[in-house]
Amino acid sequence: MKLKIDGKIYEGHKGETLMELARRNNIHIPSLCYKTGFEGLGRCRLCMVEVKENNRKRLVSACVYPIKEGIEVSTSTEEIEKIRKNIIMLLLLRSPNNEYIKKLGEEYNVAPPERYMDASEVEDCILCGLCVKACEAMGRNAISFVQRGITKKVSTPYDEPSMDCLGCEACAEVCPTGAIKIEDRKDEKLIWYRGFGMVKCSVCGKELIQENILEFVNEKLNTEEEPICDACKRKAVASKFKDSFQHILK
Amino acid sequence: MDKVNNRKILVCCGTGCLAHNSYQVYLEFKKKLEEDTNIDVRPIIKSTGCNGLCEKGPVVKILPDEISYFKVSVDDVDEIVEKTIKNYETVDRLLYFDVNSKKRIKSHKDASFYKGQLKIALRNIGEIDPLNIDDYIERDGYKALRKALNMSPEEIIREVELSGLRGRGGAGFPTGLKWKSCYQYKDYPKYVICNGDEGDPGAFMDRSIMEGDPNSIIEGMIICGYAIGAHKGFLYIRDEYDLALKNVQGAIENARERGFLGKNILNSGFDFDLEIVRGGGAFVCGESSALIASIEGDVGEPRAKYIRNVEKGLWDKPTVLNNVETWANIPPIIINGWQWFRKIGIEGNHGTKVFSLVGKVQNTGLVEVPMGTTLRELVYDIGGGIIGNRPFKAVQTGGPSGGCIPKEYLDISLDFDSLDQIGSMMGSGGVIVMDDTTCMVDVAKYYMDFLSEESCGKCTSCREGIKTMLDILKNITEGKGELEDIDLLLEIGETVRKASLCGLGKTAPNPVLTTLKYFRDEYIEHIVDKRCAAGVCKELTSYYIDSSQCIGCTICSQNCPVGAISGSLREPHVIDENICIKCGTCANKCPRQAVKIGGMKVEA
Repeated sequence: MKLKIDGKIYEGHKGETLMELARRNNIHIPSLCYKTGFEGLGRCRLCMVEVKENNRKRLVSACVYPIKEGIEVSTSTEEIEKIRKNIIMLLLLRSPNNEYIKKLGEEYNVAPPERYMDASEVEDCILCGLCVKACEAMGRNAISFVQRGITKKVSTPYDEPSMDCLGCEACAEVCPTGAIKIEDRKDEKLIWYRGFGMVKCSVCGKELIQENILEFVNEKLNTEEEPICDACKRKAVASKFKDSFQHILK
Repeated sequence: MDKVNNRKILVCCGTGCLAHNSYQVYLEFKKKLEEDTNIDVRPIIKSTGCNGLCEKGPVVKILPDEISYFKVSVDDVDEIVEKTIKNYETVDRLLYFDVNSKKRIKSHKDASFYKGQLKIALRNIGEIDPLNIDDYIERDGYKALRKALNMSPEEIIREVELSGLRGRGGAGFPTGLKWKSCYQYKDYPKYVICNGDEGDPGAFMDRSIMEGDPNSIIEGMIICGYAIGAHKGFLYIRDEYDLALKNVQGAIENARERGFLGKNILNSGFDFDLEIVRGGGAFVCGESSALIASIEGDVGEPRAKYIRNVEKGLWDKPTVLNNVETWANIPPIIINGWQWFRKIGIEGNHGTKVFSLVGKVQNTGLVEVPMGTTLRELVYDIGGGIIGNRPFKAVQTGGPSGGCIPKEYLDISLDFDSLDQIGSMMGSGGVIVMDDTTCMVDVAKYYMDFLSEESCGKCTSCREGIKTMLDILKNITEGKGELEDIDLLLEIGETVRKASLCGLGKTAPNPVLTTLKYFRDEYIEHIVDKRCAAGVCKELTSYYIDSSQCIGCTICSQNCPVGAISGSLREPHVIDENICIKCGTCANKCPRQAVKIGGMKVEA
């Protein structure tokens, strides 16, 4: 399937989204809620591009738009740039103190009207939904969107510690704005209102991994391995090598 | 009048009338008729769906005498039985008072509220007991299904296509084309869905049909199922619609018993069944892709519709989704043929449309008129004009996503395309009439507030855009607005419209954009003069008495709840602004309109 992006012809696969094709070909389309390996979510609206099909132009979000033969795509027009700037302005009004969003604002040269900025606002989450998808991919579904409209947020059911949460931190890993906080406490990590006890390395005693994760992995792999940290594991392997090497020398 | 057999007393038990105790009226009639042995011809008594003129309920109709009584209370039942049922006389004081002709009218059919109407979707409502399937069958019910089952699917689709019927849910997509596209996809199972998640403020068209004539929806859906090759349908009904849920469920069970639903319908070999899904109470679930997500058990968020429902809808299978009113139009089209339907209305917009006419209009209620009827006819002829003969200011059509239309457009034709052209929309058919006591900035704020809660919150543009527009409008109505706010509203509104995913987001700025287009002066008055001429925005309102007009009648000071008005008899009165709570009672009560509305009180 052939289509044009910014004047150049590209070959696409059927069922592929415009964003997937663009990423494969190193074409930059800005996005906050798209991550390779995840399906497009169509939430942040930064990836709006113009598609011309049968002489009809329309704006689509690249991350959820399935490509079609013969379409002509413009990834940046005056109209699109204006939309992106306004969306970034709205994000800055929501999260005026988030470093990532502030940087984006500088990059796009956007400054929201100060009268509507709340300097004390500490919101970091921009509701991109990647964390929810990551949790779903882990097979846990511990967090999801709750409520709607301007009170929408991501949380566990009833904002209470969830027994489905592994404390695996996949949600925090994919978060573009660093909105998911993990608090290190003595002998435990606090994430999504729940404390997770830590397993210590059986050799050096260093904190290694959340108990739940180890349990989960052991169950999945049907093993029961001794918990050893990476450094100690390397040492153990090295000493084995050392033994065999010395044996050969003899 | 001669004695007649087959007399009927129809007591309206639609939601509006029920709220005015109509069920007690119904029970009282039943009791009276059972107890009284002196009635020669015993009438049948029925509780029916909504008659439309909810404001004048409870409504009682007596047939075939063609007498309609309004605002009937339990205490009136005795008199109606004695005079009308036994002696064939009318009880004049309960007849409809026509505000246009200033006369009492015996049959509702002659009332100006009903005269301009043409009932297709509402044809049975108020005439039948919705839970009695025989009532429906008596009025040609399931005749269309019998006819359709002897037609080929292609013939049915052609009939609907040629009729020119367009989806009554808001967007006005040609129904026949939708069915035809779905028919062409050979991917099974296919589904049929009825969208009954009506949630616009002030709208109750679909509710009335679901409550008053559920069989017409069911029949429409079965016919579509047969035409596109689906065997299963879902009715997605707003959970707050208790009576609608009950009546539709009852009608489905009745239809199953009679063999209209289930296996081998009317020995045709065609199987079809229906199931109700109760909506979770989110306005956005009226959007088709969010509705489908909700049926699937997902969060009710719209999805991208670059692939249409007719190809991949419910569970990614070909699906036809139509609105309640659209379904109710199907049986008459099949019975009477496409030519009949096409003659009604205007080119490109055929048939009728149901509007819920509410707000500052004399007759509020449900109205079904041919497409192309003008706004003026709707508001003045059918609606009887503005309450208290105040000046007309605007109408808001199409619900929260619609726009406000000023008086310059009173002669606009009510159809999908004309409304679209001036920045509003047909929507599902809500019409809210506003007079000079309405503040347009406040109206825009009201809708942004509604949408800030009812947007699903998925798209940044819609969620944050609405929130920011609401913040700006709050500032303007509280006297903190600046002229640059107008540009900011336009700028954000445009981005919300262009960048949002679903229909809700794309149309969400309409209330702001249309009021800015047609009532910009009012915004400027709020921002620059710090004044709200309608006296709605309290921070921008002050009341004072024009001493040259005040006759010193003391009515204002007697009615002031906080004792802010002083003055002696026959002397001009004065309002103490420090005590005044700006309730506006004095302005309403003053017989000489001497109480004036001023702007925001500025500290000297």
